Amino acid sequence: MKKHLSQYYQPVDLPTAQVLLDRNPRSAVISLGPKPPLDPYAEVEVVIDVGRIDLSYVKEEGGLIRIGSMAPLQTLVESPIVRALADGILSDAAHLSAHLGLRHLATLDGAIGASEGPPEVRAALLALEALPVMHGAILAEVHIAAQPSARGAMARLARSPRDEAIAVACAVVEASDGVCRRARLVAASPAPQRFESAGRMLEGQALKPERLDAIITAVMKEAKPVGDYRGSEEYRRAMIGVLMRRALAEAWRKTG
Amino acid sequence: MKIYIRLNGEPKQFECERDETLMSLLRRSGCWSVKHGCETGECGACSILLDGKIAPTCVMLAAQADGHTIDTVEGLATGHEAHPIQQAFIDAGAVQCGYCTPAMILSAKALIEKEPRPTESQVRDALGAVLCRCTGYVKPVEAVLRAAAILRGESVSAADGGGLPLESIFGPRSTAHDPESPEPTGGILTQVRATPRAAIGAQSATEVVGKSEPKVDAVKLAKGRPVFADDIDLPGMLHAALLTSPHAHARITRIDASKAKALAGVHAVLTHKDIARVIYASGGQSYPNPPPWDQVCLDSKVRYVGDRVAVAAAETPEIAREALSLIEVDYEILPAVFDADEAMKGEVIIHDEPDAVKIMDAKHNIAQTVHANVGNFEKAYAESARRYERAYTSHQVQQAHIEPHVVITWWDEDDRLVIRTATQVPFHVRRMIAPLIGVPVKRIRVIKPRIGGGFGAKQEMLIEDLCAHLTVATGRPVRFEYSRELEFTSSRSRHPQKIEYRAGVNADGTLNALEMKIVENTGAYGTHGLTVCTVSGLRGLSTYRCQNMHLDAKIVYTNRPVPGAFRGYGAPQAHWALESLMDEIAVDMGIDPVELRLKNAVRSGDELLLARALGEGREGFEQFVGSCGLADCIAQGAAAVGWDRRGTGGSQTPPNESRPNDWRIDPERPHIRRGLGMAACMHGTAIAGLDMGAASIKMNDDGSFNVLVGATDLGTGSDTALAQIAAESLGVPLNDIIIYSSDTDFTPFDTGAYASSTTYISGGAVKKAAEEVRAQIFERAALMLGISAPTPGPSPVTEEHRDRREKWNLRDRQAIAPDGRSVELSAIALHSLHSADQRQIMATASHMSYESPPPFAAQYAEVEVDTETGQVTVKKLVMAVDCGMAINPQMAQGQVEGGLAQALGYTVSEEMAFDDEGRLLARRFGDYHIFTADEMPELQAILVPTYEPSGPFGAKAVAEIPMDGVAPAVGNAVYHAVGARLRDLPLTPEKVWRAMRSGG
Repeated sequence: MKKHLSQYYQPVDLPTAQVLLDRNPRSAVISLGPKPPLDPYAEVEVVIDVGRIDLSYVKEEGGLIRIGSMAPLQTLVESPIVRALADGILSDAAHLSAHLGLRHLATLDGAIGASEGPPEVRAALLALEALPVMHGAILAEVHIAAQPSARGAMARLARSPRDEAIAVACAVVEASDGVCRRARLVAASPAPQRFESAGRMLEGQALKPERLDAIITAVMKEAKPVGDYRGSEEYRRAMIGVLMRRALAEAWRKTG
Repeated sequence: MKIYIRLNGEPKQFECERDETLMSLLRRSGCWSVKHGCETGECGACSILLDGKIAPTCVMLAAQADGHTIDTVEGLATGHEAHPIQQAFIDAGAVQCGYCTPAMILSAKALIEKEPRPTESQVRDALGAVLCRCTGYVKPVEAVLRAAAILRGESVSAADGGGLPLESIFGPRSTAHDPESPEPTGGILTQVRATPRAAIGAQSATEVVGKSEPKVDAVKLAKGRPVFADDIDLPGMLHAALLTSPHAHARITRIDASKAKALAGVHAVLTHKDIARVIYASGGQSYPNPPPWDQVCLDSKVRYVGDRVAVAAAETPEIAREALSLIEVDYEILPAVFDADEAMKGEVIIHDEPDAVKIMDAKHNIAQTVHANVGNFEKAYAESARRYERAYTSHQVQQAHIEPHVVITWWDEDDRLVIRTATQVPFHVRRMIAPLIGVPVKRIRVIKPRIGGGFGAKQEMLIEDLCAHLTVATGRPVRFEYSRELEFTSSRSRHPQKIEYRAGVNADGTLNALEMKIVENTGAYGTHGLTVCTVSGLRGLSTYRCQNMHLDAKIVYTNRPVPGAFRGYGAPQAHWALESLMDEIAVDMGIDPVELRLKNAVRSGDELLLARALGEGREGFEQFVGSCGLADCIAQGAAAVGWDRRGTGGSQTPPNESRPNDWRIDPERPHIRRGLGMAACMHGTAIAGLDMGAASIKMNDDGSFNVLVGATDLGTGSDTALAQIAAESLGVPLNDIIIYSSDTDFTPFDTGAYASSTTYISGGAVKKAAEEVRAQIFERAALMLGISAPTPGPSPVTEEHRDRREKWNLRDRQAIAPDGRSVELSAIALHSLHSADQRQIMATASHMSYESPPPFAAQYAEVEVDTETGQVTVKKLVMAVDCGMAINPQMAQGQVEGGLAQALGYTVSEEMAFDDEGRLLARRFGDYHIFTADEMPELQAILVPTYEPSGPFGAKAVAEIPMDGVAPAVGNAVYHAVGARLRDLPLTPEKVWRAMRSGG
């Protein structure tokens, strides 16, 4: 790391952190993602360590799950509240994002803010319709509706089980009496993408094979995969179809 | 700024820079167990316990630790004691190079404190925080489970690691023969074993050899002591940084380092204008280095993205890197070529310099060629009942050792240049660097401390020359360490090859004609290119009997990063092609793949015809197969993997859904198909007629022995194997041997750690030296007992003289005379050193061999293939290996397990991918991805003992052969599962998917 940092602050509350952040345009909150960049502070003069502010919690209050922005990914893996959410797709996503050591350091904020790297957490949050709660420019926490009837599934493809994913698909389905009430479909290859119209195709319906085919066709048509050395665009598009079919079928099966 | 940390139980205050990493702070504070492996937290070698949780420190600012508790292994156990987890790692053989061991131990500690009764899955998740390139994670997992049991107060069985006494298998004979149903010493080691698998009987012919003794360096490695090249700090030490080329092919038309030199804290900046132009080849190989010689330390032309441009030395690494940014370089960008076939068209000339030596055809970018003929291939091919033509390609991969290349150079008090470096070849470095820096060999001392893995990448004088140049220029100690990104862009890798086979087969399945055409991409420089390709040819045309063979190989320059030595050294490429071809022939002819191989495989007594036609960069000569346990390997491996599930004939076709109970179909996952594949492997043991090692042994006052070897233990455990050989020969326990390797001032010459040579060649030297010391001990004992001594024998010792000596015996630290009287070794030592006819009992011996006895192996793989995605999941790898007699079975198994893990990555995921401009796309562990503990398939390593008469105590090589068979075995298993034949590595999901879509 180059010697750029002129100040290192450890504020004890968010308002102070925000003031410090506003004071210098070349300041940044310390927040590590699951795939840390090389020399993360190369363009920064001031760093703000929010480790003394209690932002690592996971709470459930009044049907709302509140996750502090600095909650380590391993907290998401272990939290019973998160694990109970849509069959634990966010927990699984956090587990798949990084090894245990990095999961202790990487935070929810870091996973959300990462421009590249493992997409699972971002995909799962999108499928759970998580909402960011900002304090000025600082992410304070993430809100997710408890959604006890939601069933979820994630399907994933990589060169090896722990390698960065070539493609990921998440499906969160709420159903009653054999009829889908809501379906949220997200795929990442590599950037997460929500397929709202495809999800709506299932609402008010049962997941019959022909319906599933139509949904997958819509997802593949709408998908915007980007090819790289792990997989071409053509392949990724096809895999989004395969994985979404699996994730949706599995989530639907769980609703039964 | 000041920070407060509770470090290893003690509250401490530290002064740190705001942008200093926690890793840096801890290392400079004496926590040398915190290792640098990367800069992105992905390898985990720098991990500590932060408030009891494992966490990498290279991605943390030191200030973030303010107010927290940190534990490193330095705090686990003080003094000579080992913490139970450390002891479990030592006992289980979980320590190989030891570079990642402290972090693994810490992760285990955190897990066990949280979960005293961890499952294997939990252990693997914990160890997943730390990359290990040596062990395959089998023994670390076992170690953690053992440690947990011990810490729960449970009794556990001894971690024997297998092993059989020589005599229980072979009797007293010393010639090669087929053992009668020896018990395998392997097993699945991912669980704590309740009982040892092999008892050591009283009739054992050996006391130390053949036993799974703990590694002699395991304690210091498990305790994280400062034993690696970078684990020292010198007063006034400068830090080096390397500027590399952003272009694949360009001429430097202007370079101006004046601004960089003017930067405060910068002591030297060197460009091609500052260094004498001396042509060399960077491969650490015997004199004279094989051609071509096509490199200079810094050139006015760059030939790949990552090539050297300039180097700077400054007071801190940060200043050195900032200096690089101030160097002004103008490039004339030249057309680049990345494909070997394209390069041979000669539209781009990569080496147009006039002073390169022995480039075969520079105008067509052909560095060297290799040709060999046996019999009459064309005639035999034309007359064969079946003819096959197939082409296979293999890819460029990186060694990915966790310890980066690192070197520290300084002038000592006698104005001699000291080079402390992570190298596999200290003596080659000393010889090769001398002309480059203008310092004679006698004024250079190369010290090789412990090495954190090398796998061939450190069989290269990669950065020592530049560091030495900077010390010469500044007069100061200089430290030069590669970043992980430089390891990927500017180190060495495996040569990609295209191999075209033509095979003529008789109606009965015997090979009649075999031709191999190789086009090898050697990147921008030819280092190791010729010899790697020669080994490919030798391995690709030696495993099977055939009287008519032809080899034609071209080693071709391109603008890719430079390949070099990599564990296996041309054999993995050849085996990928050959063993895929054999499978294709078996399928086509309706012969079981095992049967086809057994029908054609070489046997004891066979001449290796290609060895005579080829050398390894020099003249070849006759070589024969001595010990050969291939048939046993095939049988034992088949039993372990359940090969009989495959059946014969028709079952080689893809699964049939209409057939009930087809194990290849999973009713719960209809998109999954399973398959079994295998490959036979044959490797070499050292380079015949070339590799040489020497050893010195001297006796101490207490009857212990110093063993000094030039051999280079790079984490494989060779120091332990050599010490066991010495201990066995001298009749003492292992802890009476103090082994040291290697230092060019103090240890005798050795070619170094490569070509699977150390146990065989250096071990031979140790054995010879020990035999000479034995003779001196007997003489002294005879003098003390007043009886006639065995006369000094000829060298080498004759059988007659050996018989006379053998009436004497060395056992239990005593010399035992023919009449049964004995003298303690300590008494002999004191008498010799202090009492009468005083002299030092000591000897030095050298060893080389014109034989290269092949180890053999059978590799099996079970896979699952996702028919919708193409994803290949390897479920189980079994390798049964004939490595002769394993000097240390536990270590030998560890070599196999680690090799299998490395070969697995080579097969399914690892790949140096490039963009159209020749820029490497995966420059960090996270993108390149080597296998982690929590995704490994089941590994089973089976040692199939034979006795190799030319090796010390019957030993031959084991280190490289595990690289050879995984790729073809997995490829063949994929074919068995889904009927898709892949001929291009790696077997990525998209390739498999496309192969299935195209009908295979």
